Amino acid sequence: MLLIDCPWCGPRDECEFSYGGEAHIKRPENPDKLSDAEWADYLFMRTNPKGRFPERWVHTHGCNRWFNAVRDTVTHDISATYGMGEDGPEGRS
Amino acid sequence: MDNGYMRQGPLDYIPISAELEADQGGNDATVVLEDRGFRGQIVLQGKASDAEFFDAVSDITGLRPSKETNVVTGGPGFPRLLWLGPEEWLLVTEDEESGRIMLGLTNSFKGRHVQVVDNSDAYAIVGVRGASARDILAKGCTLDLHERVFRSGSSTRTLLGQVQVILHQVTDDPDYEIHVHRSFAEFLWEWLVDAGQEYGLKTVRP
Amino acid sequence: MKRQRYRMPDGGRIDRSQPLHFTFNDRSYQGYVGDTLASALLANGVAIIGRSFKYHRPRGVFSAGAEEPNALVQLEQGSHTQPNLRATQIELYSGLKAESINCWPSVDFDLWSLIGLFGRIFPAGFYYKTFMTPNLLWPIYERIIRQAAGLGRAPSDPDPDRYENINTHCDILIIGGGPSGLSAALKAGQSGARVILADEQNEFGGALLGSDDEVDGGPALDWVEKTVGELEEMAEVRLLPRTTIFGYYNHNFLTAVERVTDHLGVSDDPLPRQRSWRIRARQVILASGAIERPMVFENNDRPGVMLASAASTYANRYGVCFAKRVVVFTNNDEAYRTALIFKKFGIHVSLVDVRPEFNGDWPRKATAAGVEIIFNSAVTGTRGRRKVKGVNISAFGMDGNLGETRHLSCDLLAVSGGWNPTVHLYSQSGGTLTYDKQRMCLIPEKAGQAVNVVGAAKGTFELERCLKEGAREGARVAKNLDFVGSGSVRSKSKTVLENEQPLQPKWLIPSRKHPEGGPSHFVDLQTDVTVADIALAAREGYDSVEHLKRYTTLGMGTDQGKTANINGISILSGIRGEELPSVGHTTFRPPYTPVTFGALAGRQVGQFLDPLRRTPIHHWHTRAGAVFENVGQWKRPWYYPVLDEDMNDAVVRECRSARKSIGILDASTLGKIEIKGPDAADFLNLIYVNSWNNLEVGRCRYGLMLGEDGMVMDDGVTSRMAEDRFFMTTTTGGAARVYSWLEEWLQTEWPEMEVYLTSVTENWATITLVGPNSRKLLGELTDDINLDLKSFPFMTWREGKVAGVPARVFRVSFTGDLSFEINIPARYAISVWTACMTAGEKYAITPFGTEAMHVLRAEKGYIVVGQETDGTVTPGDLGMERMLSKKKDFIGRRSLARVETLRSDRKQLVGLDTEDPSTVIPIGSQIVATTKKRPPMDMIGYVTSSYYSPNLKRSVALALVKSGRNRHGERVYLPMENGTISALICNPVFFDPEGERLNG
Repeated sequence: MLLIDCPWCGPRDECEFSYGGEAHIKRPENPDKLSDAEWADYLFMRTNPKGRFPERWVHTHGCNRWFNAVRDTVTHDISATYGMGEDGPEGRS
Repeated sequence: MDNGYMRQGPLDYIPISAELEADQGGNDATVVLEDRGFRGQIVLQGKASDAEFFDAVSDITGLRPSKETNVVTGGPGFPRLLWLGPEEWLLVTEDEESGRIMLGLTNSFKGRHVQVVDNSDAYAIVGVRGASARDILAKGCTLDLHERVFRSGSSTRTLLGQVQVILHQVTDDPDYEIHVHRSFAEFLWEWLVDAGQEYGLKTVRP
Repeated sequence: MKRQRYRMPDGGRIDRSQPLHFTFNDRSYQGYVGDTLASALLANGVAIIGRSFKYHRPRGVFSAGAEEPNALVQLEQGSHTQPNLRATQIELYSGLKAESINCWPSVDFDLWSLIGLFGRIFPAGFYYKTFMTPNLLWPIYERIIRQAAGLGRAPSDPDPDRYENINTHCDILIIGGGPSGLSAALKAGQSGARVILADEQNEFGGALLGSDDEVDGGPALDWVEKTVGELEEMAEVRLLPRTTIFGYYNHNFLTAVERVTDHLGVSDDPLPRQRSWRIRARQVILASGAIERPMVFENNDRPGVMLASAASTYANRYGVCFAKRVVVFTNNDEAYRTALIFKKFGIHVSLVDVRPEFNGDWPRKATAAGVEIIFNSAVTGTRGRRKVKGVNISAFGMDGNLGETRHLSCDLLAVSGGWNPTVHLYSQSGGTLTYDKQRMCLIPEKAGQAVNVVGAAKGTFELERCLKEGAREGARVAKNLDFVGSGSVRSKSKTVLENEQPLQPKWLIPSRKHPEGGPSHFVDLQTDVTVADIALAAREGYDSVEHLKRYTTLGMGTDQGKTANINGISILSGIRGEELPSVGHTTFRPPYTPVTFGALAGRQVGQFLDPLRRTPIHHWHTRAGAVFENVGQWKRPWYYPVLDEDMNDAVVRECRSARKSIGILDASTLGKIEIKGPDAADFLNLIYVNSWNNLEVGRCRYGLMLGEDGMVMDDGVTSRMAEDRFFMTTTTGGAARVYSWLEEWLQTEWPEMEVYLTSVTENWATITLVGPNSRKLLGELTDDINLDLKSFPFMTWREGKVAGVPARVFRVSFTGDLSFEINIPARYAISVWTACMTAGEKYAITPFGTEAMHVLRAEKGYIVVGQETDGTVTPGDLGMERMLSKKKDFIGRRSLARVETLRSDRKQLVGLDTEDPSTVIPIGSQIVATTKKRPPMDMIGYVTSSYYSPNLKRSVALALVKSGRNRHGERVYLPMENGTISALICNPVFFDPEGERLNG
């Protein structure tokens, strides 16, 4: 069970949160201009690094806010949490 | 039209035995579970940067929405304003006050980007008080309820017995109020009664 | 009843004034309060506790704690029974009943033990090699293997006991209440930090409970008592005896099981039997002690062979002395303590030390006490099939080889191969281990989490240093968390004798039989893995620790190899000719000791398995005799049987009434969301496929919601309440998902949009009136809503009072008939429902459930998201492409232009017209264009909805079929187990295709 530091509510148990996948993926401004492959890249393709990974969480059973977290996929160490729209410690990678 | 006989509380069908009902105070119990009945429950959403929103709420309710997280303004009396999120509060009023306050808020926010929703019937309110209250909650809640962390005047949404609730510690006794979605109320009540068995829990209706 | 013939008249921590009676293998015995089952059995001279896993060899008590590999029993009977419990950890209670496991017909005469005679044919990997072929025989093999091998029996009745889960938090969790743990707890507690001290035993003290050490100039146990007393006085310290921390997970989350009433036996106590703790600790201090390492020699598994520390514990703590002549076999100093303890009781003790003769306090003290010390020698084997009768010993020659064997008779052989830190939890937490070459054991190296190790768990074996380390770490860890307290001076122990002569790394003693002579040198006593098995596995290429483990089952017993693994990997490293560190070790996984399913589940069983949701009208339905259906967590009325109606009768009646006169449905479970803000309409444009700007206030519109992949996600009617306010409804199952979905887009992608959402699902009860008489009935219940067709047309909503209650009424329809959805605050739901029932009596108003609702909507070809759709269905597949707005972007739009979603052979929604109108096709049936004699056949689609329609007097079915819309009129087949159903593909709208009934 992870302990996740909600930027608003502070550290709470993982069961209060829902996972939202990789962070900093922007919806394309003009989807029509994209090829099928480019659209599929936005839709389906995610990086799957071993190590630090910026990802999105939402405090579903808490303040109901979305936020970003940098989690190490090996150790589960969460090195930072920060609000949506903010740059993480490693930029928007 | 608001005749008592027309209303059905979410816990009205829970049998509370006469014997326990006679023991109104539940003084010898280390924990008492109470159906706290109808209340006005109004959801307010507005921008943290919108000073006029804060002023208007303050004018109408006498309470200024907290910007500090997980904190209740007002209480233990009514009204109370519970912080739910950075742009969301729950105003808890006495049942008969809610219509007036709702109208006042709606009128004063005309044309503003503020949402006021009367959600009074969405939640049942269950009181848990007494020395063992904390232990009972801990059986189904991962929050740190220690008084150094969660104290009277604290509130938050969380999970209790697999059910999402709004938990508010009203007094130091401790006395907790649980706002639970109406459809889950009977489930959670029965879960709490079962959890309290080892502490001799008593149930009370106001 | 036999008297306890091996119980000493005094001494120990048992209460001789409180005798307890118990039975083991149907024989009655007596023990005392304070005993474990193991100590009580030993006091009664019971040597054989069980039979071994594979060879059914007699086995006795080997240890005095959690590491016990042998003395496993079946505790209690019937629904209370529990398999494979360690007798060394079962606290004795009055009336306890236990049995041996894995023996037939009895523990003293076990026919399966004949296997032992053929040990040579049961080598490692035996099952893999022998039972591979032929496949068909495997079920027979399996039955025999399961009878021969295996441990206790799982109970077959439901567990009558009560279990609890509880969550807690602390600043410092201290694991282990021995000398270092207690010292740490005292310092940490004095600092004011929130401390939990957990220990698996019934009382604190750890190793001190079985020793005769001194602390602060008095008996160590007096110090324990004083320290525990102080801790009990501290408000922020929680003491958890009988509590095993069994798992160490991420972010300092630890799980423990507290045996609350196990020691009281079977009772009706309202207290739970066990309580599992879920602990979130800011810091952990691990003081879990150490486990003694056995020696490996021929027939080292016999009853009467025991760890030296265990022998000391049984004597000191339980006052049990079950030997007349003791041999102690050691490679280190520790066992001298055991020798001295037995000597103190006046027993003849010989000590066999593999090390060459040395001068030191220990040998001097032992010799002075009359212990016969035999240096430079080893025990090479034991004698006595059912209990040790004697040992063979040999001296090491100059060449290091063992010489002549001589015999020494004894009835207890205490073995000591040095201490191994209990690093299981440390390793589980992500910490790495390193091999300490001086102490010859694995010790903690680098922590993966906020954990600090003290005492024997760290390789600190001397009492004085344990006390010092515990106190120092307790204070340091607390200080790092900003807790500084004033504490007493730390306790001291005069260590009389330091370990002065290092351990000699010799654990495996060869003999004539080694290494190929069948089962003789046991490494894993629980899974019957021998040195020969390890050698064979290595020869066959399974020479990595992980392979070795799985091929031989080394360390795979319920004890997870607590006494076996270290010897196993050290033997493997010998075979590989490498140092132990390069061989590595297998992963330590939770649980540290086995945990009951009950404790894991807690109260999340039976009625509390999953939350249950009731609508505000639930109790009316119950009284009306409704049969309920689970829809997600909701209980919804499925149908309302009257008198002796079956489901079919009831549904037919309900469907007819709803079309003929009036039906009433509790639709309160529909999701409802209030949407407000200047950008609300623009937001809906993005969320839904259709357009919302031009929807007038007071009107409603059906909306279809897609995922970004273009697949249908939810649908529902959304109404405009004001210029900047909408009221969205969602499917019952989609309510929470849709609300989160909208929030996600608003918060993450379009934070600049000024829109607020509030879920109001639970605030409003929804009562749906359906049928030609619904307008008349509603008219009787409201004065302020004009219901005539012109004032209140289809797809509009009005506000007013219904039955005296403020209501929002929506003219929408899910059945194709005239219909009103009445929304009222939940508290009035039953009174409005009752008013409708009373006023509707003259129209024979009929409550209908979800089954009739499904029939009615399927007659109209209306889809249900999640039934007609499964996350792979586009609006086009459903024939709804006309809804798609071409003027705006919306979520999922681009995906609809992908090559895959444009394919013409996608499965599309159709109706199925069965050849025999009375045939109702089972939902989920596969559809083929041409049948073959047997599968596989080319499947072109499947049935999503299928019902008998009483209004059409025929079956109706909806299906998704490849290119279905171009196949109307084509014949298809549905092969069933007993024959094939034939049907024509048709339009999915079966009833009132012109839609004339909508207005009543």
